[in-house]
Amino acid sequence: MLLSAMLRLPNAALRYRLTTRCVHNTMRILNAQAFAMPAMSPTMEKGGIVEWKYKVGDIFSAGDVLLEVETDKAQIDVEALDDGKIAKIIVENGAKDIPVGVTIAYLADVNDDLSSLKFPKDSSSIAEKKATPKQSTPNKGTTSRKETSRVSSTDSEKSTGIGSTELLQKANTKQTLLPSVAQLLASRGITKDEALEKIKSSGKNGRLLKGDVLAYFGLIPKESVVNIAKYIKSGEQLDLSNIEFKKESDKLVEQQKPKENAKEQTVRSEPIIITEQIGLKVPSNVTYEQLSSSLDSFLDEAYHFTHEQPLTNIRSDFYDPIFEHLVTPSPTEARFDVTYQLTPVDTELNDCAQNDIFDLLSASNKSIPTQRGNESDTETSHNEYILTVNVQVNEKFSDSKGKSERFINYLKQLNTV
Amino acid sequence: MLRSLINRRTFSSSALRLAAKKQHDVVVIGGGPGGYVAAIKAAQLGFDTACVEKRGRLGGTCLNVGCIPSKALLNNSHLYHQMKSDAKNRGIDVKGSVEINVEQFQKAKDTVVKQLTGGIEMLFKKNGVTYYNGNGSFEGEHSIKVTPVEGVEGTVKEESILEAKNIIVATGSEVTPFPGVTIDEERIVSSTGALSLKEIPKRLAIIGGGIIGLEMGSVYSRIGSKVTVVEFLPKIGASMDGEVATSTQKFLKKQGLDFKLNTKVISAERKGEVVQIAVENAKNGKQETIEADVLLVAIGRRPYVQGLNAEKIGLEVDKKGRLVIDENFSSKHSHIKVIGDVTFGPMLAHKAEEEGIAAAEILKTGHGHVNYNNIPSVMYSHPEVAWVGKTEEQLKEAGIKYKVGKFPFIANSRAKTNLDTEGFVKIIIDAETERLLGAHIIGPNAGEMIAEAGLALEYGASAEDVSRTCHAHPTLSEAFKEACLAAFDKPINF
Ligand SMILES: Cc1cc2nc3c(=O)[nH]c(=O)nc-3n(C[C@H](O)[C@H](O)[C@H](O)COP(=O)(O)OP(=O)(O)OC[C@H]3O[C@@H](n4cnc5c(N)ncnc54)[C@H](O)[C@@H]3O)c2cc1C
Repeated sequence: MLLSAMLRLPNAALRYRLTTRCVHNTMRILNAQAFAMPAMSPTMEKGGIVEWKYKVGDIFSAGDVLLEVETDKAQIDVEALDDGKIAKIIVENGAKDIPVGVTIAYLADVNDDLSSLKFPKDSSSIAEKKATPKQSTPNKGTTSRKETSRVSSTDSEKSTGIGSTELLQKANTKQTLLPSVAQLLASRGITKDEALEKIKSSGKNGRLLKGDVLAYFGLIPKESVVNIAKYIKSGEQLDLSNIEFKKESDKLVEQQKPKENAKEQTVRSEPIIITEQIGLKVPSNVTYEQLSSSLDSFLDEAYHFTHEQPLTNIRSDFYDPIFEHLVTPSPTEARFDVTYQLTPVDTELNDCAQNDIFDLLSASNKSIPTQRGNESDTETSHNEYILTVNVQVNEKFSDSKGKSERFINYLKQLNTV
Repeated sequence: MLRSLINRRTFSSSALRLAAKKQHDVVVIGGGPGGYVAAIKAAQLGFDTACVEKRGRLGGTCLNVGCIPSKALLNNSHLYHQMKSDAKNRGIDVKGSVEINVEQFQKAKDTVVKQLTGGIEMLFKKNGVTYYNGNGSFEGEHSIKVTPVEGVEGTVKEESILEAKNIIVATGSEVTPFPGVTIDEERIVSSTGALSLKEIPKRLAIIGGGIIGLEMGSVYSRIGSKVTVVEFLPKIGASMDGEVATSTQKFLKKQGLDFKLNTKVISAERKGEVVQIAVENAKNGKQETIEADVLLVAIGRRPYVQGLNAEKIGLEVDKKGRLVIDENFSSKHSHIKVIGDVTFGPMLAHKAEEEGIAAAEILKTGHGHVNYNNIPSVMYSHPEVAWVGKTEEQLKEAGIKYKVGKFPFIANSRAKTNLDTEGFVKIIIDAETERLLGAHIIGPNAGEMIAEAGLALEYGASAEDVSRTCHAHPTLSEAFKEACLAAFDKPINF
């Protein structure tokens, strides 16, 4: 599934928390695990909660859809990768613009007793986010909402300042460490697992960078990680701010300037349209579809004939094919545009189109005449049609009008009524 | 009599158009690197895809009159130049003279272009992309009219209408004309004309010291032209790091190119078989006239939307003529995406390609991403110049504290062995986190080496990460590693 790819990140995080829980099962006091607004795409900064699919106390299994999250682009299901239980919902259905990383619920292990559960302090709770717009934090009024400060703040790490939550993520536990990071950790005697749990990452997809580790060990100021991450992030997108739109008046000036492709620029005035109506009398065993398809090919033939043949009299003494070729624009350039309408007309002889198929069947021993064969037998029953042809003349070429007229004349051969 | 009967009964299907209507999920307008890549990707993602191109050949500016032909000329002129001026030093004696055969020189280039553009047609067939050889223009928000193009081989026979659920506009760019200078592609040429000169001009003047100007200048200087570059700015190389631009100018000058910086072109006029260019020094107001056999106008490119009829559906254009988009490449209609040279961002083929992929992916999944921090630029002079990420100037402006590590090729064993030691690698890292912010290389094969910097940037590597990665010996890439070492610690071999 498409979404599962994007879910790898939050799910990995989710699974991590839950399995850590299992490890700590023997602890006296159980801690609920904070569940943060997941980043459903690398560019997602905030999202809304469409619907929680579980209530507090409900048990869910790996693969269940926990909730539906809404971004500016799509609504996405968030699945659980491991079994667990909803301990507490912090941000309720319908809340919008929740920054990624803000705790939206607490999860517990399947067997945890919710009444004895301890909720860690969480600095990333929504009330603390300056960036968050008016968004009302759903106050459930039950437990005290004083528990504010982040899961990881149990260790020595302190929040690095404004906006850091969006730029610093929980480290991806499946990563291969960069050589600089591995080196630093080894020199300080910290295992990879420990580091990935404790050190927040400023790299893409939760990758731990050298700067993250340096900051964690206090070797560089913590702000420097956020600052550079912020600067880099700002350049990842095209700068589409302050676009100066071209005004109508500018466009006019532009058009007045002669251009290389002036030909394509000719200003359209009222188009010249020639309309011609031609009556057709067709044996009734010819269906509407048959007629219209043979008309199609006839019109096509006429169209190409008129385009290819020069207007000049070929037999004239003044006709020079080479000169003609040089001065005439390519025959492949359309001189006109054709649309047509084929309208059946009721006649006394033959009143209904529904009869056509019957006629066609009863007359099946007769050969089906083409539209040119119309003049033949007048004894058989006939249908009459009006063919309305509209020819829009392309005024780019001097010979367009002449060619359009010739086209009409060519069609007039059809007139049989 | 008939007329009175007309309205009595009309078939709903009776309104038929001669112009055939065809339906596609995605129609791409423009078959350049942006368009053809988007089309192939869209087809691979399962869309019924069509691509409309009016040039008669796929590949756009890049394959027909841009990247590819220019690199063919650069490579062959470099070989010639080496044989002529350098072979002897290296113990290669050429009996008889080494000459340029202009006709064959051009033909070698044309053959490559033909093969590559034909190759894209094959790729279209393989991936099931329908190719319309004609001009595409907007008829409505979901319909594109394809019309035959005069004088183009294999163009569509007649007009047709394509109904499309989604449209990707990739109509590219064209040469920006210099006000008051008429390009005749003979004596006063654009890059297109410069790519197919029938003879070698004795004197070639170039307006514009950007990448295209300097590349073409290199070609003709190597095969015998006296080249003068006139640039209005105080530096060449457009967006190059300042230090790199200065060094590049020095190398090119040594090769015989003459530079007039801070110099404004007032007028240029063809007088018979020569072109006279009046210029003025922007600093002291001194005027002079340069005479040349050919003048190349290379002051940049501008977005191209002629014949697209974008006005019809109200697509917005900014002051520079770029089609306006949002961060998802959407025009004001979200099913119409715009990518490549015709919209914002650097005018580069690989940038257009990345956007083509991203746009197709967005149509499919709602997600697609291009990292604009990490788009390399390469100038294929000799030595080559390549860079990616931030320049010192950009970092200063943003107030970011940084450290620089540099390593010269003169200290690199492979460069020394090759007797090709001009240039250096310059690495810029964040002062605290040591995260790589930019890499700037002047040197042999810089264009290939910059890929390593791109990978490092993409993964947020620090200078240490690169220097802890084993690089083969002896290679030029060791210079890259050493420069990284120099940035956060000390180099070993310098
Ligand atoms: C001399 C030169 C050298 C260059 N060297 C390099 C280089 O080394 N590296 C690099 O990255 N970039 C280089 N470039 C830039 C590169 O060519 C462009 O960035 C790239 O081609 C842009 O791709 P695109 O798909 O956006 O547009 P284009 O390549 O311009 O393609 C657009 C296509 O759309 C077609 N088209 C336009 N309107 C319509 C329409 N209405 N209907 C149908 N078709 C239409 C055009 O005919 C054209 O073929 C060079 C450019 C030049 C001129």
